[in-house]
Parts: sequence; C-alpha cells; structure tokens
Amino acid sequence: METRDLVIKSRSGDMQAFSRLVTLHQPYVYQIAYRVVLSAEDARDVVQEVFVKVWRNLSKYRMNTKFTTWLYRIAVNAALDRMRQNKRHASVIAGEASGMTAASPDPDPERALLKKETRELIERAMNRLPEKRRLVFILRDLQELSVQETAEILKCSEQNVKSHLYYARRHIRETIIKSEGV
Amino acid sequence: MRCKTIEKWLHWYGEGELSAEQKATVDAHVQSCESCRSLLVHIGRARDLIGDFRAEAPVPRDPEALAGDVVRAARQSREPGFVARGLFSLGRPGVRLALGGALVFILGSFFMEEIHIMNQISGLENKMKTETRLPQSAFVRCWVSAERIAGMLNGDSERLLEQARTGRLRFVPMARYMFEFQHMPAGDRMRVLRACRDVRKTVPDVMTRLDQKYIEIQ
Repeated sequence: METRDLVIKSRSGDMQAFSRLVTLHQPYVYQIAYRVVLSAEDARDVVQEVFVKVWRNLSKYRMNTKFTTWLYRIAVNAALDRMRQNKRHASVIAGEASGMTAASPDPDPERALLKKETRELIERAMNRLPEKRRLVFILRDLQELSVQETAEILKCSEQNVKSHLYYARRHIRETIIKSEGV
Repeated sequence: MRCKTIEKWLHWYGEGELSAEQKATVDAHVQSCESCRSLLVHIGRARDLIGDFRAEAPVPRDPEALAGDVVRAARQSREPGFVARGLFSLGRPGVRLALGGALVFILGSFFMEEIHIMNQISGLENKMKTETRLPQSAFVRCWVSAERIAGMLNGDSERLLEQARTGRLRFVPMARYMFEFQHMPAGDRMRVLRACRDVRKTVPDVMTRLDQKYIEIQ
C-alpha cells in the first residue's frame, strides 16, 4: 500500500495503517534524528515524539504536499529541540556516538576501524557547523534529498540551501585534509 | 576565470548542477591550474569519505520494538490519561499565559477562518456545478458524503435503506441523500463520485472540516 493510502486511512483513525506508516518511514526519521542529536538513546526518543506528533496532527497535513517533506520537517524540528535541550551534546561524539549500530557491521577489523575513524572525523566536523548549515548537509548529502526538498523542509530558498551546502562541504573537506596531514 | 569562482563550481562538479558552459570552463581551467586540480582531488576524496559515512546509516537497536513503542505512544496520546495530563498542566503559569494568548488568537481568527472556508466552499460548488452540470442541490447533498455513500452502495445498502424507511436509522438525512443518489442515472452518479474524489484531492482540509460539520449536523 502506498504512503498516500496509508495516510488517508490513518487520518480516519486506522491504527493498523498508521503502524504500517511508522514501519515504512521510521528508518529515515531515525537517521535524521540520530545525525542531528548524535545519540542513539535521544534519537529513539525523537522518533517516538515525531510519530506521536504525526498521529495527532494528521488532519492538519495537506495532501497536496509530499508526506515525507512534512514528516521530515517535524523530525528536524523535534531533533533540533532535543539537541538544544541536551547539554551533554558537545561530549556526545567521544562517548555515545561510537555506540551507533551500523546497518551492516564490517567483518574486517582494519576496515571497521577505518570506518569508525571516518565516522568520528565527519561527526566532529559536522558538530562544529552552524545549525542551519549542518541540517542542510544532513538532508542533502547524507539523506540524499534534493535541493528543492531540502529547501522545503527547512523553509528557505534553494539558493540558500546551495550556499549553506557549499560552506558545509568546504568545512568538512578542510577537516579531512587537516586530519590526513595533506 | 579566477580560481575562487572555479573553486565554488568544483563543489557542484559531477552533480549535474553546472551548465555545460560552466563544466567546460572548469575542465579547461583544471587542465592548466595545478592548485585547482589538487583541489578537485581533495573534493573527490572528501566526497568518497562522505559517501562511506552515508552508507553506514544509523539503525536503531531493535527497530520492531521501537515501532511498537511508537504506535503504543501514539495510541495512548489520545486516551483519557493524556487529557488528564493536559488539564494538570493548566496550573503552570507558562501554560496559563500561553492558553490566554491562544484563546485571544482563536477568537480573533475564528470568524475570518469561517468566512474563508465558506468562500472556498462556495467557489468549489460553483466550479463543480459548472463542470458536472448537475443541479446544485443534488451536488451539495452528495459531494459531502460521497465516499460514505460509495461505501454503503458496495455494502449492505438495502438494509440501510430499509432502516431509513422504517425510521430506525439514526442518520436519516444521510440515508435520504443516499436514496436520491441511488435513483440518479448511473452516469450522473459516476460524475458526482469522480467530482467528489477530485475535490477531496485538491482541498483535503476543507473536505475534512466539511465532513466534521456534516457529522455534527447529523
């Protein structure tokens, strides 16, 4: 069943359809939440909060807009709120973030270590980006959304997205170059 | 072309964001500029690492359990416990202030919103009347409850009609509309249903409100 049908059914109170909707979109909401808050525990809470909001506000959702745009906007806002509340955010990188569950853990220990280092390096670089720039980077480069959809989620212009993305990428590239001692 | 401009373009190189002319300029510049060529290599390297990072998408531990928790939380959010918690929070000064503000806002916007919705409905009615060429009364009666009518027609409509006739059905007006609808020529019925479906697609919010109003009237 398509998202649209599931949304229509959920709007009329069909819990089964809503449950399917959650299963379908939860992985992406979790990815966004995790990448913003950089904590598995907080990301789980954000996912829960997001879908409760979705369930309560389905009647306000306009069917002529893309469901994921609406959903991801709620996810981004909830994750940002959590991040701002979270005073321990700055220390997260060294601690909890490394406890992330990857989709498929690498059996080769050397490659796994390399991946871990890359992850920590990029997360550290991301963490130093201003909020908006970081969100643009997450949505466009990590979630692979289009520039247009990123702009719609963040309620800004496409030009603005491109500009933030340019500076975000440059910052991450410079961090990588520095770490590699080039 | 200056290296600064090229540097900006290099970030979009290979992403389909550059025009053919810009791409050709970059290609030509990179051939002759050592520094920009090196930058292109670094950008490629960063892109690869970001790609690796992206591929390692975070996954929650026990996603099924999380989905279960999410659905449970959503279900509970509409239960009396939620209302009770909401009432409890009324005692807090911040909440009281927010509620006061919200009340003023709601009262102010209520009439404006009503007028806006009525205008939308009237515009749609006229539009649909022209398009379907049906009498407005038939249209107004049918479009609001068309989905339900369609459901009933597929289900046990005979039983519902019988209940309507004997006065045992609570939603008598609805059954009457259904009765009228059933006695329309088949072509008209299809046009009404199609029109209703299209209206629902274009203005779901208005339709949802109409439905709610319709149920209240019942």
